[in-house]
Amino acid sequence: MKNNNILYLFLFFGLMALVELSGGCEECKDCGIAYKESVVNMKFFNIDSLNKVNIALVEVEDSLAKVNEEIDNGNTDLIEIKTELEIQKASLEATQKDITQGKIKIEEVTGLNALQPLYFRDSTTNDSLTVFPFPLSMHTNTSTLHIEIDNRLDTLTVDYLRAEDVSNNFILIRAYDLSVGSSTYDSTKVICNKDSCLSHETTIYVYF
Amino acid sequence: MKRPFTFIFSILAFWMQINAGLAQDVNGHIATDSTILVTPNPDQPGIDSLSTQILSSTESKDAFIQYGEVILDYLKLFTIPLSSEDKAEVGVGIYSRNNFGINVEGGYGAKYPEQAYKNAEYVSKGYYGRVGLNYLYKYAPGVHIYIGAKYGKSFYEDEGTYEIGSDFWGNYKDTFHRTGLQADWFEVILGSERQWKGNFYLGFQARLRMLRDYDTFQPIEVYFIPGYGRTMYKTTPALNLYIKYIIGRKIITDESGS
Repeated sequence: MKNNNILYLFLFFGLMALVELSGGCEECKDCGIAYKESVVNMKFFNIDSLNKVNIALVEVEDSLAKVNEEIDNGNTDLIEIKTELEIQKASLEATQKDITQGKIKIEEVTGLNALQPLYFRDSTTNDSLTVFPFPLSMHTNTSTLHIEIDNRLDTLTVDYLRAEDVSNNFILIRAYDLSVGSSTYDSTKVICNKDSCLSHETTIYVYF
Repeated sequence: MKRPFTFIFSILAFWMQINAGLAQDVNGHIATDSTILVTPNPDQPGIDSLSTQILSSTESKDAFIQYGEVILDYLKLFTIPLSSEDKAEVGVGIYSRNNFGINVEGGYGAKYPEQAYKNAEYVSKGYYGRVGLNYLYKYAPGVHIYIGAKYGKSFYEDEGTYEIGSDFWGNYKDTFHRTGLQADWFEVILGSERQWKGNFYLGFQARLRMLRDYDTFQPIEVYFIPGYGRTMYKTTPALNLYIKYIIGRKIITDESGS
């Protein structure tokens, strides 16, 4: 009886050993190169265009006020012009809203020492976006970007620090403490709501 | 590709382990630790109880050191065909007349886990040793159960190469290599072994390891300590299957005793 008990113990631990060995052979399904580079969020505000739109909007509103006054005085020939002015006003207001929100269409982005151009397209409308996640180089502490918008080419250099990190068993390079080194835009502003931000927690506002 | 070989080896080892337990019961022959063999004599039926022969005994009842042992962990040998790890472990020990034993074990471990860091090729490898004290209980003829405690220490290194993809800037690839690493831990063990043939025993040892200290790094932590296991578990179980050779005590078998 004692011998049988020992035999059962051998059986039990022998099976445990088999389980342990077979478990060690599990294949890793999502192993390989991690496409998880650091990005910084960019917003673009076309202030020149906004100023032009604002001026045009004021002119249209002035014209519309005068036309309304004439119509109120009994000049019914201007009703058609009024309609046209209202359409113009609505269009300008929509453009003003888009520019204020930062909605813009970037033609192309290239980078100094980058391998290929980058294109941003809305996945559903293939149209403009308001926030653009720009990849940052993991090889250096500086990324120089050439950005083309409305046939205008500008250059923006972003400086940052880099550090290794591990997330979900992936080894990553994080960029943090971003600043704009140089720029051909009218002005830029780096928005970070903490003492120190990782790149994806940072937004760079660009005004041109 | 290597996995079927490991499975076949495991089955064979498992069969040997079971067979070792069964072989002793054939015809009622029992080889015991006390070196007394009961041998049925076909010419003298019914003589089992009368013809019990004390065939030999080289064991000195007075010597403080009763016997020594050499142990090979055969379960770890099955890792050789595996692509994910290589392990080997041997041990020696001595037992006193009051069934206390001191043992020393040493081994080599290398682990190449795919899932350690998913975008990295990682290896941790090195040598380790354990020293421990056991108390052995003779549960049945040819069967031992024992408990014990051990202290283990590992000297190892780890290295890895990781790659992060970027279609825009180009992939980033870097390596790390950390040498001269050390770790130590305590263990409590529970084991059992059974006489297989002559002075050979087959046994298992269940161990509960408690990590005491190890060299840490951030953010890329050491994943595996040879001799201990994964660093994320501060307490972790383990299992050894071994074959043992007893030195200094003659064990009588059917063949030698007749």
